[in-house]
Amino acid sequence: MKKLFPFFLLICSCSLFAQQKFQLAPPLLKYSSVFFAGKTSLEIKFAQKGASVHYSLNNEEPTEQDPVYLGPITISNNFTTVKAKAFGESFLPSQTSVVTFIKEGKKIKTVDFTVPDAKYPGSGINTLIDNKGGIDQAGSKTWFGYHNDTVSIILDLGKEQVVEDVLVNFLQSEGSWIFLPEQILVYTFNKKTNGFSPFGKDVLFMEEQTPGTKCNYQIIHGRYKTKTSKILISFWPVKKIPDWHPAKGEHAWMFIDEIKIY
Amino acid sequence: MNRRTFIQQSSLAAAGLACMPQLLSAKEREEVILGHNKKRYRIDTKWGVQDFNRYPVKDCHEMVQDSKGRIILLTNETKNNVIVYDKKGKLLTTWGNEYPGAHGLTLFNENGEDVLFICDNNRHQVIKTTVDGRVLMTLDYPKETGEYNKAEEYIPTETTIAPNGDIYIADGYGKDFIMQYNSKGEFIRHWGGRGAEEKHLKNAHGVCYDNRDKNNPLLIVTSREQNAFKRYKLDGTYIDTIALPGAWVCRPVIHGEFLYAAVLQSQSRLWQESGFVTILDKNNQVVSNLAGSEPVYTNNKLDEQYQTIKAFQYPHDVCIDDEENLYVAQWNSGHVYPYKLTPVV
Repeated sequence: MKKLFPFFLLICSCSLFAQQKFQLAPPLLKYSSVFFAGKTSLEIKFAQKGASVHYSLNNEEPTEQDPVYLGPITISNNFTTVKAKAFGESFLPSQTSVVTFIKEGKKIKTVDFTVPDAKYPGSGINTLIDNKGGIDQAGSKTWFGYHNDTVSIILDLGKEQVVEDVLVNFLQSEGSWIFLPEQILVYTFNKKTNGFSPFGKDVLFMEEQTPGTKCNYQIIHGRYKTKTSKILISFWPVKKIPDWHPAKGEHAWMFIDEIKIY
Repeated sequence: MNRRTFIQQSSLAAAGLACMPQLLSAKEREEVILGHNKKRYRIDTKWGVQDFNRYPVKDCHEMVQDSKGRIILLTNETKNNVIVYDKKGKLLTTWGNEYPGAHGLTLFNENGEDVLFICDNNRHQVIKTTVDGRVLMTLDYPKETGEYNKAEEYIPTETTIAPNGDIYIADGYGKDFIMQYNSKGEFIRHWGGRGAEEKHLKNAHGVCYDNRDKNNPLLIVTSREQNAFKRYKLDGTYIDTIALPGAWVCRPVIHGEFLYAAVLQSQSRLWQESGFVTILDKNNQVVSNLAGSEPVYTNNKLDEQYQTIKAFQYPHDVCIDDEENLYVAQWNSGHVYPYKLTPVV
C-alpha cells in the first residue's frame, strides 16, 4: 500500500493542475465541385487563433510535419485526395477532413434517366454529367434523389469507345434515410445482339450505420475492357432500411450527382 | 522501508514534484479562452452538474435569470421540468412534471412579479406560470389565424413579451408563423409563415423584443434554416434580414447593447455536434464566436461561420446574468447539464 503513495501524490498533482483540453473541429474544405476538367482548386478555412492546418496529398493521415496550409491548393490529377487536420498546442488535434477530386472521363453525349423525386430534381437533364457535385448536403441542387425500387440510367457516348470503369458518386446520410444502393449493375450496348450485355456489378453491404453525411463514390470495374457506345446502369436502392436503424423496414432514399466513364 | 523501496518511492515522488512546474506552466499555456474581441470567456463545463439519478435532464432547452438572481433551466425531463440554480451552480429547487415537450422559456416581470412562459412542443400549447410553477394561463393552437386545422400542426418554440404585456409566439417547429396576443391572451394578428419572400421564415425557432433603440423597439425572429435573424416592426411589418452565413442560430437574447445566441450547429457540418455561440453588437455585427470561427466581414458581408473548437455539441440557448456571466444549455448532447462561461477582463 505504501508503495502506492507516490502514485497517489502524482495523480493528485496531475488532476489538480490538469486543464480541460478541447479538441479542435475539422477544418472546412471549400470547393465548388469535386468534379473537374483540366484543373481546379481547393480552399481550406479555419479561422482559429493558436491553431494551424496541415495537409497531405498522398492519402496519408496529416501530421505536423506535413505542409501548413497557406493558400489555395491547385488540383490537376484525377483522384487527388486532400486530407487536412487542425493542430494547436492548447488543443487536441482535429479529426481529418477529406476530399477526393475526380477528373472528367470520356465525353458523354446524352444521358437518359429514371425521373428523380420531385423534391430532389437536380438542375436539369445534364445533372449527372455537368461536373458539378460532391457537395455533402441533400438540399444541393446537384443531386438527383430517388425513392424508387429500381433506377435506370443510360449514357450515350456518341461513338464506340473502349470502356474500363464506371464511377458513380452517391450521397450517404443514413440518419436522413439516404443510403447507398444494395446493388449497382452495369451493362454495355452490344452492337451484334442489339442489346445490353453485363459489364460489371457492385454489391454493397450495410452491416452497421455509417455516421454523418458524406459523399461516397463507387467504381464498377468491367470484367474486361469493352468497346461500346452506350452504357446502362441499373441501381437497386435499399427497399427496407436495416434493423439497426430507427427507421427499420422503411424504404430508403438514394442520391446520385455524377457519373464518369473511364 | 528497505533501501530499494526508499529509492523507488523517492524517485517517484521526485518525478511527481518535477512534473509540477511543468504542469503549472502547462496550465497557463493550455488555458483556453473562447471568443473574440472584447467578448471572451473562460468555460466551466461542471457548473450545473447534478446527481443524475435525483435530478435528471434530457434536452436542456432554455435558461433565464429571475429578478432574485436565480438561474432557471427548462428541460423536457418530466421528473423535473424546471431546475432552479443559484449563480454558483447550487441547485435551489425543482418543479414541473407536466411539460413533456418543454422547449421555450421566457421570463417577464409583470407589475413587479416574475412570470414564466413555457412553450410545449408536445402539448402544442404555451403555458404562463408563476416563477414557482402555478399555471396562470394556457394558450391553445391559434384557430383564429385560419392557418391551422388541428393542434398538432402547431409546435410553438418561443415567446417574447412586449412591455405592454403583448405576447408574441413563434411556431418554429410548426408552420413558422408569429402570433401576437394581448396580455389577456386575446388574439391580435399573425404573420411570417413559409414562402419565398424575404418576410417569410424557415424554422422560426426564436423571437425577442429588441429595445436597444429605445425610440424604435422591434422584434427579432430567428429563421434558423436560412441561417438568419429577421427584423419586424411590432405589428409584423418586415424590416430587414441579418444574415449569419453558416450559423443555425437559436433564439436571440438581448442583454445590454449586445445580442447573444446559441448556434445549434454549423451549416458546413450538419448533425455533427458542430455548435458554437455567437455575439452581435448594437449594430447587429458579429463581434465574437465562442468556439467558432473569428468573424470576418468582406465587403460588408459576413464570411461563412463554423465551429472551430469542440467545446459544445448542440448549444440551444444562452442566458446572460446580472454579472455578465453566460450560461449555455444544450440539446441532444448526452444529457449534459448547462455550462457557465465567465468573461475575461
